[in-house]
Amino acid sequence: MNNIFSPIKLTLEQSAQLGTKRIILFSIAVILGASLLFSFLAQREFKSNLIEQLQGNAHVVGVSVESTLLKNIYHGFTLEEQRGVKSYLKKKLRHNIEIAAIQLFTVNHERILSVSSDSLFISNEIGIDEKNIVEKEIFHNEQLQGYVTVVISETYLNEKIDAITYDILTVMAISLLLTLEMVLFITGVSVAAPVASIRAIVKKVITKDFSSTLKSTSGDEMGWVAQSLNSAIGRVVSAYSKISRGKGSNKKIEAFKQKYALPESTEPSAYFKVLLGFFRPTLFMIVFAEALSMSFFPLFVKQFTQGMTSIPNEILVSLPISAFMLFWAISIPIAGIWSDKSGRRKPMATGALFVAVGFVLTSFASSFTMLIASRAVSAVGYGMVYIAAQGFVADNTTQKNRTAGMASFISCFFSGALSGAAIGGVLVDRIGYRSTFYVSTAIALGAMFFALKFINSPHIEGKSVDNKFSIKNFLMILSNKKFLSLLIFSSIPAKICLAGYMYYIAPLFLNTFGINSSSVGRFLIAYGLSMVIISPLSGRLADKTGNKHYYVLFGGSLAGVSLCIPLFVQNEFGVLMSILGLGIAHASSMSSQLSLVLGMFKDDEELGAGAVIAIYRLIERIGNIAGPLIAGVLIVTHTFHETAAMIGVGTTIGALINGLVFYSRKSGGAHD
Amino acid sequence: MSLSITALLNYFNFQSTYQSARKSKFNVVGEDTMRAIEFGINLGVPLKGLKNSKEIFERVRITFPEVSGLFVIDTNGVVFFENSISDSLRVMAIEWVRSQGEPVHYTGLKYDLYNSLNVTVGHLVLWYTPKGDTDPVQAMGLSMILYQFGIIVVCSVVLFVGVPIIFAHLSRQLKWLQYSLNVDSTEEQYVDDDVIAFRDVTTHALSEIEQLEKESEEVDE
Repeated sequence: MNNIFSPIKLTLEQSAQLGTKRIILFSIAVILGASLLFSFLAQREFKSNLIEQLQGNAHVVGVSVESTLLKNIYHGFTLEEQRGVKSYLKKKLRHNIEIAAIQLFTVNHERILSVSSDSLFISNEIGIDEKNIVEKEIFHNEQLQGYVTVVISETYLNEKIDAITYDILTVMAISLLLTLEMVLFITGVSVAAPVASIRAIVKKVITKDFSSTLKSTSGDEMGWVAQSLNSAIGRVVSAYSKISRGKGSNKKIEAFKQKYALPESTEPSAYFKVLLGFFRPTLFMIVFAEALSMSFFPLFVKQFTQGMTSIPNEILVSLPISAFMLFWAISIPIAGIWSDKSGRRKPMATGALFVAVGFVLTSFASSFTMLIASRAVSAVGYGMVYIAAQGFVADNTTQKNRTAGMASFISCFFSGALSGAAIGGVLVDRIGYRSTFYVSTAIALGAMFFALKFINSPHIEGKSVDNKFSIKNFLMILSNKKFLSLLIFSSIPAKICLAGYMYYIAPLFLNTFGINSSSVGRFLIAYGLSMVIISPLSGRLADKTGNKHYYVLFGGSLAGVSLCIPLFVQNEFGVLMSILGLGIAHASSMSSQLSLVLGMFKDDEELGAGAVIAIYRLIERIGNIAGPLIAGVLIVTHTFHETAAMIGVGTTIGALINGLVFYSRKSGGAHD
Repeated sequence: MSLSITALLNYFNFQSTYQSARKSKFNVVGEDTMRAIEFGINLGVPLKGLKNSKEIFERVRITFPEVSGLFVIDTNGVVFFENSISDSLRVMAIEWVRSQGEPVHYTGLKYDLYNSLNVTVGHLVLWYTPKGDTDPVQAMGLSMILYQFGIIVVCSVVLFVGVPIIFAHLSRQLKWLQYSLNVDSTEEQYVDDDVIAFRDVTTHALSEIEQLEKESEEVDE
């Protein structure tokens, strides 16, 4: 490994890359260290404060037991002689889950009776912490009659601490995702992009092109380099402009002008390289803003459906969500073509604005109809950002690195969705529905700012791509056998697995094991995390090896096999394994699917990348709709694990058929 | 941000756990009080005639000073016996008994009182203070802020020291590059071949212009 202190021979790009990698690792280490230390301190504080409270509870239980026993003592029964005490104490324990045991002792500390409901106490009675025990003396006529001991439940304490631990772990995972996004963007803007821009300008000058200078306003080392670079170029440009105005030999000056590329005016144009990662803040923020309301949205909708009796409430609640999905799907092809024509900046910025307006309207919605309309506005914007971001990836990648680019899109999308959903739940409890929508609005406006500032596709801006969303184009795309096969046997089944199994069967299935809604959310995070972590790795690997259809085949088969796991492991662990497997499968194949699709039409000038992606995404949505329907029909006659396995087997068969089509030499379309 | 969210979660988790623990604590007191009152009802004494209720309430409030109010109310909302620190608790207790939707009160407990025929004859309402002598929720919040502040300071120092070290090599290269790009500079620390080529092309272009300038001056003369 290179030592950063040694005068190693690295290019600027290598140094920047190394620095970026190290800063990511360093940030992760700092975040993890800080989070672990804080969670340790927080848990310790929580436990000690809670024990203090529970001691008070144990004392009150002791007083209550004492007063009951004293009544019997008053009637002449000693502690040992009293009957029915056991059932009385058992009842007391049932009503106080924080208490593990109540015990009665004689004056000589000989045990008369011990009642416990806590398995941890029964198995480890001697090892109980003294802090967990509250002893009360029983006095009658100033004479000690015995003792009542109340033991705080260690199980109850552990449960409370565990709940916090899960929360802390969730927050830690989300923090890491956020940190990664921020560090990637900051290093991109302040390190990778300036270095790439310096190289680009230097290369231009080497080819005798003095028409551009480096756009940089920073006051750091990058800024100083930009100053040196610009001043060198500026000297040539101004010296030339001086002689071109003089009386010298016009022929020689003309020859000089022919030899060197110089700006038309005295000011060279400012240049700054656009990096692939520049779409990430906009996409991340939009997905994050939308996901903030994911956890509570059905509850929010219920406020508007009260009193509407003509349609079942379950259907009413689903209407705004369905409207969102519908308008999202409708906006995708239109926005795709618009972004091909106008460049990616406008649709992304406009989309972000639509999302923001949609949230403002949602927060002010006074009727159910207005709520649906406001969600439709957000959905249109969401679709614009979604498709333009994919177009941006297509613009800034080649066939060689497109899978990695698409994987970056997918990981960013899931990263935003995961973080938003997790933080939204916390936020709404504290600031309420409307304020959470205001937060979403602010984030969407932030996304618009990023789109305007950083999204630029110079080779697209102003370029006229004459592609209409015509039936001819639609049919042309669909007539490609490989495209059709990929869609029917791989992409749609993937969405069926996602919507049918993960969002429909898995939560119901987990519920049968006594897992509540908030814990179900933690199970589902496994899918998102797999997408975020594995997708970029598999994308890079697919680009390196070039056999993208292998990844599609592997992903499809693994998804099918994963859904069969609950058939053999019929508990919550089996479901978790299947969700994790599905996440790995989709992370391995989704970016390759999209890359293959773009590769199939790369030579077709009539079709822009945006239009191809739009049509692909539009048809793919059939899987999202069909998934819950298929699962719902199968569940009527089969168990959860059988239904999951049936979808799994179907997915695997689909993956194999698609694999065969790709291997077949007779089928049409371009190869990856 | 991570620390703030963790702190918030911890704080609110503790707040809800504290509230439920407190409810459970006063539930023990409430159930004992209810049993003592029902003992009289089961002996055939009408609710209105349970004179010892006053005595029971007094004893409870002396033993548990955090109990702020106790009320025996009949099914029509008429208060028969009470011991409380304020009239507002009385109004709240009556409203609670009369309400249909059973609203949740974070600092109150309500019990139905049954006679020997298992018919509801009235209600016992117990109010308790939201906190004891000390406020552990506030203390928890303060600790979270202090821990957070401490860790943020440490992290800032670590980042302040660490980031320049991580980018030390790149920073040095950029300094060399800055000198190297200056065509008048005599620095020999070139970063790579492209920079050498840049200098060559720029120097060449400048000398060509200089030559053209000289020729232009000669024409003028």
